[in-house]
Parts: sequence; C-alpha cells; structure tokens
Amino acid sequence: MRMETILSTEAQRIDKQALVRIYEEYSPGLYRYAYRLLGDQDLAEECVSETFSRFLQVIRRGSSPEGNLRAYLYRMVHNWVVDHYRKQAPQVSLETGTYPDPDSSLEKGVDSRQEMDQFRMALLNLPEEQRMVIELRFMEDWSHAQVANFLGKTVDATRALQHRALVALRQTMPGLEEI
Amino acid sequence: MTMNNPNQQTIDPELQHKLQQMRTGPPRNPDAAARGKAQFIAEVDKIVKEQGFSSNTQPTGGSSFYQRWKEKWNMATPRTRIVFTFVTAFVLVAVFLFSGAGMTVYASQSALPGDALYGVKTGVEQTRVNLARDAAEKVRLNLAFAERRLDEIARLIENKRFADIAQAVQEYEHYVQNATAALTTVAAGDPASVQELASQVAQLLNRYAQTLSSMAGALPDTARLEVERAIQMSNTAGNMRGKFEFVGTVETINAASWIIGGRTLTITSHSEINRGIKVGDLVEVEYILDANGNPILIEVELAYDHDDINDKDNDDVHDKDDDDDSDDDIHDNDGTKLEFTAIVEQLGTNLWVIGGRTLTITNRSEINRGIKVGDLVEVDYILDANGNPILVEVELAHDNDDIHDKDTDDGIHDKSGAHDNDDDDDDHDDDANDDDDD
Repeated sequence: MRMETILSTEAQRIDKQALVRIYEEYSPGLYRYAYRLLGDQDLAEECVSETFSRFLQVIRRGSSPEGNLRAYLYRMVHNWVVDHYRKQAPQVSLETGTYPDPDSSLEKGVDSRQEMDQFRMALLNLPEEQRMVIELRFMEDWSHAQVANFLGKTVDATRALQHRALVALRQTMPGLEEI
Repeated sequence: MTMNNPNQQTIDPELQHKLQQMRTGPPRNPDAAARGKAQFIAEVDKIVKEQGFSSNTQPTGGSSFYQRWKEKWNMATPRTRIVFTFVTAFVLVAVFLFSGAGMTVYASQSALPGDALYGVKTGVEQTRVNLARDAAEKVRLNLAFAERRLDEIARLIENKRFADIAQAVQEYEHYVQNATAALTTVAAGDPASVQELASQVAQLLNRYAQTLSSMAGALPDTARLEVERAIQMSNTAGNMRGKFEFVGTVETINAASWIIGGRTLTITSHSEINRGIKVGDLVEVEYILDANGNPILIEVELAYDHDDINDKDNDDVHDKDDDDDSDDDIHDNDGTKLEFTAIVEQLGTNLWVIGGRTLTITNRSEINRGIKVGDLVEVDYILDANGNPILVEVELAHDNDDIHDKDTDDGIHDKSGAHDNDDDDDDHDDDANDDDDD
C-alpha cells in the first residue's frame, strides 16, 4: 500500500489530523505544479487553495477519491488550470525574473518569457500520463522506476510515454515544427 | 551539443533548457503558504463541527510520530513494506469486524437493492476494489461482486420485488465494465498473465449470462428488458476478448510467430509490422486473444526511435515512427479504452444506446457520418470515474473491411480509427471535474 493510499483511507474518516497531514504532504508539490502551469504565484496559491477546498467537499459528501490520491489531487489542479485558461486567454507573465536567464538581454528575456508561456501551454496540452511523466521525471527528479510505480505501468511503458512527450514538446518549439 | 537527462537519454538541448527553466520557479511566499494552510484548517474545522466527526487535533508542524513513521516508511525495503501492509490490513480488518461499524457492515451483507443498508454493502465492496493490490486483483474482485448481484436478482425475484431489479442490474453492469477495464490494464502491465485471466473472465461472464437467462423468463416485461440487457452485455464482454497492448523487447522473429517480451505472438496475413524492426528493439505491441486464449499479433511498431534518442549528432530529424506516435496516443491510456461491436438502438443528443449499453456523448466523441438505428457499429469507449461509458469513437463495423480473419478471430479490427489520446485524457479530466461539481 502506498503512502497516498494510507492517507486517502484516513481522509475518508474525516479525521482532522489526517487531513492536515495530507495538506502538508501534497501542498508544496501541488503549488510547484500549479506554478509551472500558470507562471503566477498568486494564481498558483489560489489554485492550490481551491483544489483542497474541492477535495474537502468531496470528502464531506462521503465520497472517496478513486485510486491514487496524489494523482487525484494533481488532476484537480490540472482541471483548475484548464478552467482558468478557458475563462481567459493565457497572458504573458509581467513578473520580472520569473524565469531568470542572466545571459539574456531584456528583449531576449521577453521573447524567452513568451516562449516559456507557449511551452507551458504545450506541456499543459499533453495527454495526462505524458505530462505526469515529464513533471515527475524532469522536475521532481523521479526515476523511471518510481514513475512506473506511480502510474501503475512498466518502466518500458513510461520510457515510451516520456519519449512521446518529448517529441510532442519539441514540435512546439520555434524552428522545429516542420521536422 | 547534447545534454543527458538522468536516464541517459540524449534529448534536444533547447528542450532540456526549457525544462530546466520550468524547474526554477521563485520560492513560495511563506505568508501566502501559511494563509492557505490556515484557510484549509478552518474549512476542516467547519466540516468536523458540522458532521461531528473526530477532531483529535495535534500540532502538525512537529507531528513526531507521523514524521518518524514516514521516514521509516520511506526507508523501508519493499519486503518490509509488503509485510507491514499485510499486518496493518489484518489489524484493521480485525478492529473493523469487532467494532460497531463492523457490525453494521456485517448486517448489510444480506441487504438487497432498495434496502437501507444496501449502500453500505456496495460501498464496502467498492472500497475493497479501490484497495486491491493490483489490476488482476481488481478484475477478480469486480467479477466476484458482479456475481453477488446475480444472487441479489434471484432473491428479488423470490420476493417479487421486481422494481428493484433495475438497480441490481445497473450494479452488475458497473462491476462487469470495471472488470473488463481492469483486464485491459493487466494486459498493459503484465502481458504474461493476461491470457489465463482473460480466459477465466470469458468463462465467468458466459456463466453469468446463462444464469441471467435462466431468470429472465420469470420476470415481468420491464424487469426482463433490464436483465436481457445485462445478458447481452455479458455476452459481448465475454466474447470480446479485447484488444491488448504492451511494450516489450523483440526476442525472436519468425515467419509464423514472434517472441516479444517473453510472449509468443502468432503472425497472420493481417498483422501490421512496421519496417525495420529487429531483434533487440523495444516495440509496442497490439494483439488480441483467439478463441483459445492465444495471442494474435495485430500490430507491432518501435516504441521509440532509438536513433533519435541516442543521436550523437544532435540530428533532430525523426522517422515516420515518431509521427505515427502522435496518432497512436490513444493507446497511452491503456487501462481505460475498451471496445465492442453491437447494434445501434437509440440515437440521442447526449446519449446513445448501442447493444443495450448507454454511452455518453461528449464534444470529443468521434462519430462517423450516416450511422443510424439498426446499424452494426464498432464502439471505442472509456469509463469515467463512476464507471459510466463515455463514447470515444463509433464507426460502421463493415468499414473495417481490411481485416476479417475467419481463420483466427473475427475480433481483429482495423486500427485506422486511431485518434488523439488527448480526448481520452480530457475526458478523464472532466470526470474529475464532475466529481468536484457534483
């Protein structure tokens, strides 16, 4: 039984301590995940807050998240971000230093941020399992074996997912679309 | 210049750079994080107060027991974790059985649809499915619980509670659908074990269909229609034998059969084999099982382009297989996509009834033009979080005229209908939203 399953079982009893543990366990990762997709700290906090609020409503109704709680929460964050982008077209972040690149000129930095927004959208549009592989492998530094265990797949299958995701992402990058 | 990721795969440096940039976000504002946590705790308090649940609050910042336990858990070997899991499960079951809640659950075991405790009974069953250790266990549990529904239907008939039969049938269909979905997951993750399991599933479902048939005659018209639908579904699921996939290494190539990942697959004249595959290649395999449970190769292709990944020259040119990958994305979600062939019975804006099964139409459902009631169609569908079928694609069955192998299995289908897996994923995402919005 995995950690998240145990926590999920506890959560179904609406035990305050268990729920706070869940929050402490997953909130930082969910925030990072939301920030990567949104590029805005306030929005990422709002996203995480609403995700846990929705999670509590699910628990309150006596429902139980099916399967892996961690994946369930990440999916809720993803849905929130998708809904957010549906309501308003994504805008280039005006935060300076959001993606620091000390070697870039100011103009190049703006281009870079625009490219990053485009790249973020491409990541967001990947099929869920592909996106999860990229997130966990390249941003959370998980091994293929860990990702495979998390997704319930074989290592070979996660390698194939990773490859497809990388191909899809590369095709969104300027100058490589025709390849 | 190329860069290596931790898995030794060489990827495009620009892409690597972008991924690296995404890693480096600004640190989280501690005040905002604290406010978020405080808000969450306030909401928990509100719920606990409303519902009168336990509130054994302790400061969590230094929740030493939890921290120690978590550290031990993280450091434990897989063997230790397995032993711990079994011991914990045993203790929990013992406590549960001898507690008041256990007595309630025990009392609920004889409940029938329409009884007050029936929800407890099915809730406990669903929890057992959710906690199953693997997909094969889920298959067995779902089928066992489907069989319970048959017992319930028999008892409802004895008690002449015909109006409650619909709910039992609905639950039966739910478990059968989940069993077939889990079977597909087994095929993806553990192809070596799927053959025997699929054969057992087929036998059980055919037996279930016979049991239902023996009961149908004793029913009034309304209830009989429900049961006949379940019979049809059982037969369809039992005979479908599915289309399975896995990723493995090519071990042997012969004219009549290939061995991939330790599994022998029969080659037919309709098997689609991508050019250039050789022994040692990692490939994606699509296959069906014939009437005897033997795997028949439908399609094999490179799982990924080795030349591309190991490209020392940083040559970004991809071969056709890469392009094909995007079309095949539907198969990423191995565990959820199912298919069957049946007659169209009703066409609605949001729901179609095909072969007695009601499928929800979404804006991503691919529907071939000209399909009308009475047509024999092939249906691709997925199950949402509640086990309800969501239509992915429907097309006339005779459109797939390129593969009808009478010698092997008429379940061999054309793969031309493959489409983007984004649809599948989005459907699941929407499901999660649905949960939230309920």
